[in-house]
Amino acid sequence: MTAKTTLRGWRLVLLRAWLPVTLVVLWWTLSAGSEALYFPPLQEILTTLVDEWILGPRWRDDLLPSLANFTIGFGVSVLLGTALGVLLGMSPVVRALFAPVLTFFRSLPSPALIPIVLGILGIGAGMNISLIVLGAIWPILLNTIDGVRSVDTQLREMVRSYRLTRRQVITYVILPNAGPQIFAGYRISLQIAIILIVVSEMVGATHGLGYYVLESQQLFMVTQTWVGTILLGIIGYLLTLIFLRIERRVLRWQIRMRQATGAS
Amino acid sequence: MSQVVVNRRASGTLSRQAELTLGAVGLIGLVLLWQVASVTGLVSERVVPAPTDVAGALGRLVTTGDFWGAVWATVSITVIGMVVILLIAVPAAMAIHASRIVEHSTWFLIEFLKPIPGVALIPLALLLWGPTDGVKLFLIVFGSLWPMLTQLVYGLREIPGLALEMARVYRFGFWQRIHRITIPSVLPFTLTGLRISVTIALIIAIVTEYIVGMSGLGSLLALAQLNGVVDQAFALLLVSGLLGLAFSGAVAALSGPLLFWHPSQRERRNA
Repeated sequence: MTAKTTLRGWRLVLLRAWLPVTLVVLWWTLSAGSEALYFPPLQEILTTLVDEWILGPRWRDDLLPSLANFTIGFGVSVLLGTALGVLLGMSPVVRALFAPVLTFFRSLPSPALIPIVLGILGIGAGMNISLIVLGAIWPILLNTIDGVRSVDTQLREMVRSYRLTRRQVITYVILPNAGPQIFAGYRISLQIAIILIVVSEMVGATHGLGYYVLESQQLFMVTQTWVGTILLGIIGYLLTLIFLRIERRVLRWQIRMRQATGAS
Repeated sequence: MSQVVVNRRASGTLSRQAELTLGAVGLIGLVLLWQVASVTGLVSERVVPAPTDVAGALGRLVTTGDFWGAVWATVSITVIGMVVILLIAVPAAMAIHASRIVEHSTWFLIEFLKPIPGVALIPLALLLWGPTDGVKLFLIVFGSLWPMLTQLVYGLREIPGLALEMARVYRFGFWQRIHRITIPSVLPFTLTGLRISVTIALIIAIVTEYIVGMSGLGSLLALAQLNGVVDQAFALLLVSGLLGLAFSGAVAALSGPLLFWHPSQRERRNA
C-alpha cells in the first residue's frame, strides 16, 4: 500500500501534460472569435505578445531594464544580507543590539516603504532597486544568522584547535555548513523580490513590465493587460526555475552527502 | 535551574536577560541617534522627520476613526483570506497526496502558478471585475495560497510510516487515524505555511489598497504620499510593521498550545 511504483518516461510526461495542454486548448477554442470585451481570443493575445515584446522594441526598452533592476536588487540583497548575516551570526553582542530592529523589518510588509522611498529617491531605477533591497534583504539576513549560529559546537572547537584564520573559518566551515539554510532564505527573498519589482514599477517607473501592465489597464487596453499579466507569469516562473538550478548546483555536495549517509 | 543552564551554555552566547537589555539599548540608541540627526539638520526634515514628529503624527492618526477603519479593513480581509486559503489548501493537499494521478496531473499547473507574483494580477482583476472586496480577496488567495499548499503536501508526505502501520495494527478507524496521526504530523508544516502565507497576504492587501485606493492601510499610505505628509508616512510605516509583528506573533502564539508535544516547543519550555 505504501510503496508506490514510480512512473517513468512517456507515461509520466503524458500524465503531467494532459491537464495544462487541455486547459490551453480549451482557452484557445472557447475564446476564438470572442467578441467579449474583456476576454479577447487567446490567439490575439499571443500575436500581440509576439509583435510587441519579441519582434517589437519592448524587450529592449521595458523587459531588459526590468530584469536588470531585479538582478541588481536581488544581487545586492544576497551579497549584503549574507555578509551582514555572517557578521551578526558570529557576534552575539552586535546581534542582540540589532535584534529588535531586525524583528521589526522582517515583519514589515515592504510596500509600506513605498511613500518614503519614493519621497527620497523619486521615480526611477534607484527607487525600484532600493525597494527590492529594503524588502528582500531580511529573510536572507535572518536565515544566515540562524545558519551561522547552528554550526555545531564540536566543529567550532575543532576550528579553534586547528587555529584557522577568521577568513578560513568563514569560507571553509561556516558558509558550507550554513549553506542550506542560507539558500532557504534566498528562496523566500526571491519571491519577495519578484513581487517588489512588479510593485515598484507599477508605482515608481515610467517604463518596465509592471508599468506596462498597470498603464494598459488604466488606458483600458484589454489585450495588452492580458499580455502583460501572462508575461509577468512566465518571467516569474523562469526566474524561479533559474534560481532552483543554481541552488541545486551550489548545494550539490550537500545533497550527495545526504544520499550517502541517509541522514535527513 | 537557570544557573545550571548558564553554566552549560557554550561560549559565545548570551543570557536571555543580557540579550533583552542589549536589544533595548540598541533600539533606544538608534532612536536617539535619529533624533539628533534630525535636530542638527544632518538629514532634512522634509525627507526624514524627527522621531518626535513621527510620534506626534501617530498620535493624531490613532484619534481618527478613518485610521481604525482602515486598519480593520486590512486586518479583516487578511484573516478572511487565510481562512479561505485553508479551506482550499487542505482538501487540495489531501487529494494530491492521496492520488498519484491528481499529483502528476496538477504538477505543472501548480509549479507554474506558484511563482507568479500575486500583485501581477491586480490590473487584470481590476479590469475584469472592478475594485471590490471580492477582487481583493481573490488576489490575496491567489497570491498566498501556494506556500500553504506546498507545506501541507510536504507535511502529508512526512507522516511516519511506522505510525501508519501501528494505526493499522490497532485497527484505527478513519477519524481516529486523522485525529491521532495525520493532524499531529501535519500541524507543524501548516503553521510554517501559515507564517509565509500571511506575510505575502498582507503585502498583497496593502499593494492592492495602495494602487486601487480601496479603504485600508495601503490607501492611507497613498494619501500620505499624495499630500506630502512625510511624518504621517513614517507613522504608517510603524503601524504596518506592528501589524506584521502582530500577525507573525499570532502564528507563533498558536504554535505554543497546538504543538506543545513537539520537540521544538518542549526544548523552549525547558530552556
